[in-house]
This record gives sequence, C-alpha cells and structure tokens, in this order.
Amino acid sequence: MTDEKILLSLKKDVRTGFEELIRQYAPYIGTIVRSRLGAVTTADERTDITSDIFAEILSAYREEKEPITSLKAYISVIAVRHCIGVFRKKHSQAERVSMDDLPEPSENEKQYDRTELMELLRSLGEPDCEIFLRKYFLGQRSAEIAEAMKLRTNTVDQKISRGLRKLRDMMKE
Amino acid sequence: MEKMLTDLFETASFEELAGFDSELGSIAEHSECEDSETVLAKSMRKAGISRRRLSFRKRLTIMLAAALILIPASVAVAHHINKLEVFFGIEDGNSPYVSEFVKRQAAVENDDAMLVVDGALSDDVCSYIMVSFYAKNEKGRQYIYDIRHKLAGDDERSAERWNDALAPYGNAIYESPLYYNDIYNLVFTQQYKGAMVSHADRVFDESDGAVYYKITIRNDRTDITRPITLIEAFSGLSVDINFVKNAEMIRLVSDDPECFHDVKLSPFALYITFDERDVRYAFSLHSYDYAAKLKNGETVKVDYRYGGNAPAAGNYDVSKHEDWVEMGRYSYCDLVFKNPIDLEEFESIEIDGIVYRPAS
Repeated sequence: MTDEKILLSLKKDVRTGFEELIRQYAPYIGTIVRSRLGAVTTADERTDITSDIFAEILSAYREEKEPITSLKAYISVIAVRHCIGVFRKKHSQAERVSMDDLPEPSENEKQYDRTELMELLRSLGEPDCEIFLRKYFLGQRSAEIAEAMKLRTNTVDQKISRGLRKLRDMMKE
Repeated sequence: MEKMLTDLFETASFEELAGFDSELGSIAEHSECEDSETVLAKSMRKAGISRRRLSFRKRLTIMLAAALILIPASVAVAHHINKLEVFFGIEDGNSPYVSEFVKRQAAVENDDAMLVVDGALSDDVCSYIMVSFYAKNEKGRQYIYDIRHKLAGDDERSAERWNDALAPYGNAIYESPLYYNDIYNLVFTQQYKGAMVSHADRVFDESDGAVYYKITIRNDRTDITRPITLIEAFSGLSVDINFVKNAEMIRLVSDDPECFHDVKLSPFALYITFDERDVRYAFSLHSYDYAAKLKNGETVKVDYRYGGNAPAAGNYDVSKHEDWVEMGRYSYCDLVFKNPIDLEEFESIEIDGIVYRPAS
C-alpha cells in the first residue's frame, strides 16, 4: 500500500488508516527501535516501544495542521526521537525529546550547514546514501548494515570511511 | 564529521528527512517485523482504538453456516438414536482390570446409514467418545457428521485443550470406522502407550438373537493406580451404533517367510497390524497406493487409509531400536476400499512387493 493511500485512509477512517499504517510500517519502526535500542532493551520492551511510537504517530497526526509530504520521513523522525528519549531516560540523562521541543535552527550559518550537509549526503548516491542513513540515522552497526544490504562488512566500513572523507573534502570547498 | 552527522539526523526535521524518502523507503521495504500482530494489537489499544469487529454480513454468514451444520446433525443424531442402541455396562474391578463395557449390536439393521463409535481417554484428564455418522450410498459411504461427546473431566476444556492434554499419548482424536464385527483392535489399545490393553469377545445372545461385543479394557500402566475415568465416563451412557453388517472377515497370508504382518480382510477394508519385527512397514505403508486383485481380473483401488504407529507423537525416538519395538506393538494400518468388495471374489493384494492371499 502506498503512503498516499494510507494517508487518505487515515483521513477517511482513522481506525482503518491506522491499522494499515501499522501493518505497513511495523517492520520499519521495529527496525529503528531494534537498531537504536537493541542493546538496552528486551524483545518485549521493544514491542512496547514500537507500539508507543505508533500511538505517538497517531497523536501527532491528529494534531498536525500541515499536510504531510513524506509519511516515511514523518514517522521516521518521530520514531528516532522517541528512541532517543527512551535511551536517555534509561540512562537518566535527560528527559525525552518531545515533538514540540524540536530545536529550530536559529543561526543562518548553521541552517546553511545543515542544508548543505543534507545535500552533500544525497550527492553521495546509492548505496552510500542509504549506508549513511542507516548508520547515523538508525544507529545501525556496520555488520547490521551489511546484512540488511547484502554487502560485506568491510565494504560497508570502506564506504563509510571514503564517504566521510568525501563529505569533509566537499565541505571544505 | 561523524558527530556532526549524528547530530544532524537526530535533530532532523520532517522536511529535511523528506529528501531521503527513497532511501527510507528502501530501508522500510527490507525491514522485517518480529511480531507484527502484537504490535498492531498493542498500538491500537494504546491509541485508544478498538479493533474492527466482524461486519454484520460476515457474522450473519457465520451464524447461517453454523445453523446449516448443526440442524442436520441434530436431526441425524435423533434419527439414529431412535433406531439403534448400544449399552455400555461397567463392571468395576480391582487392578489390573479396570473396567469392562459391552457394546451391543443393534438388532435393527439400518441400510441407510451407519454410526461409528470411537473413543479416547486419558488417565486423569478427560475422556470423550466420538460418534461419527456415515450415510451409505452407491459409492460406499459418505461422511456426515461426528459428535465428540465429552464424558468426564473438566467442563471448561475445549476440544483443542483435550487434544493438547492427550497429545503425549499419541493421536488424541482418532477416527476409526468399525465396519466389521471383530473390533479387538479398538482405539484404546492403540492410543495409549502401555496404558490400555483391550480385547473383544463376540457373544451371541440366543435369547434375542443379538450379537454383543464384550470389550475388556485393562490398565497395564503401573503408575496409574486409581480407577480410570473411563469407568465414570461410560457409566450410564447409552450410545447407538450400527455396524454396516455382520461383515465377514478373512485372514490373509503371505508366502514371504519374513512377513510378520497380521492382515485381515473385510468387504470394506484391510486391517493390518504389525509385528514388532517389521515395524518399519508401518511407516512405508502410509506412503503408497494399493489395489486388490479380484478373481475376474479387475482391480479395486484402495483409496483411503489411515493408520499409525500409535503414540508416535513425542514419545519415541525413532533412532532407538527399543522404541521401534515398542511402536511395533501398536502399529496398525487400515486400507479402506472405496466400494465394498465381495470376499469370495477377492484373489490377492500386493503391498510393497508382498502378495497376500486368503489363508486356506
């Protein structure tokens, strides 16, 4: 089912749409939770966290005033932030980062850097871009990335190393 | 650089991440869920959304289907109970004899249908008897319905629970048509590893001309010391049964000196029990089709069979000889003819290279 259909379904009937959303994205959210919190949670806890994330996604969706342009990005951000919050809570470091507390880039220079870095990342092309996303967004280890993308771990490490060098060089230019 | 990237993604906005939509899609596509149904149920609950109930139409369909099954079944039960009867008499005794009951063949011959009575019990959990109804037609028999009448035990248990409870003993639900008048290998002997041994004596009652089957159930398990629930189970129970007819039974023999099968032939089926020396046949026999050769040159296909190695589920290690021997004691295989055959016309049947003929 496409994201457009899920969003349409959510709009028409929340129950149906929500069920479709979960069926479609439970594996994906599960992967994020496993990658981010696998080392500090049990399987049962991860199932709970995954369902918490879906409940949070629905809650955020209901309050959302702007149209959602990318459902994947939308649920990814919520999932990753939720995981970070859980991780910090488990380590008694800080309160969970709420959706409302999303830091807004205030400095023009920083804004420029973020945008530039995002664009540079995308310019790496496939499969490097996905590897970077898995590593720095999902928090997956090289071995996990290699398994998921059917690559050798060495290859993943090499691509990350070269990609980092490339990004550094491009940012200097 | 690495920290920068980590910070970048951890604080990325929806819009920023939307630029990576195709990569996210690729990750999502290759993700697997450990327990999606649990996630679904929990998420719905946490979001305060109840799961969808069946639509009215589906519920109506289910109710109608249930009615269509139950109404004819009830009629069938009532019909047969009025015509036929079987008495289970219980005679309590000391160990090793636990109980006896007598099955009485109905005096009324019913050409339209037959009932098949089967039963199962465990030592301390529950017991049930299964009565299957078959209609007889030109094609032989047609399965109609069976009832699994619970006889004792915890009323809360469902049929599935019974199965679970009985599983260690082998096939919990065993369906064995009793076409013939020799029922010595009734299910009880075959379902419980060492628990039950039974035999049946055919008794002709001159006073009313009825044929009785006196079946003795014996408890051979030394670890079961109390009277078995079978006693309570069958006590006072009246179930009707009609054998198709007083089917003749002939014994088949083979020239093969290595053949230790005990093969009996009725017009309806071959009943094969296995000596412990050739238990491996018990397995191989399940895999092939056979045809009986008639004297007129025709062949009759055996189209349905069942059998087993008694309590095979979980109780035996097939790599151990002693377990094979143990299994062999309870191994059986029934090959059922699609249409009844005339015993006088029967010439032979070949099973796995061994030809069986009527004993002279």
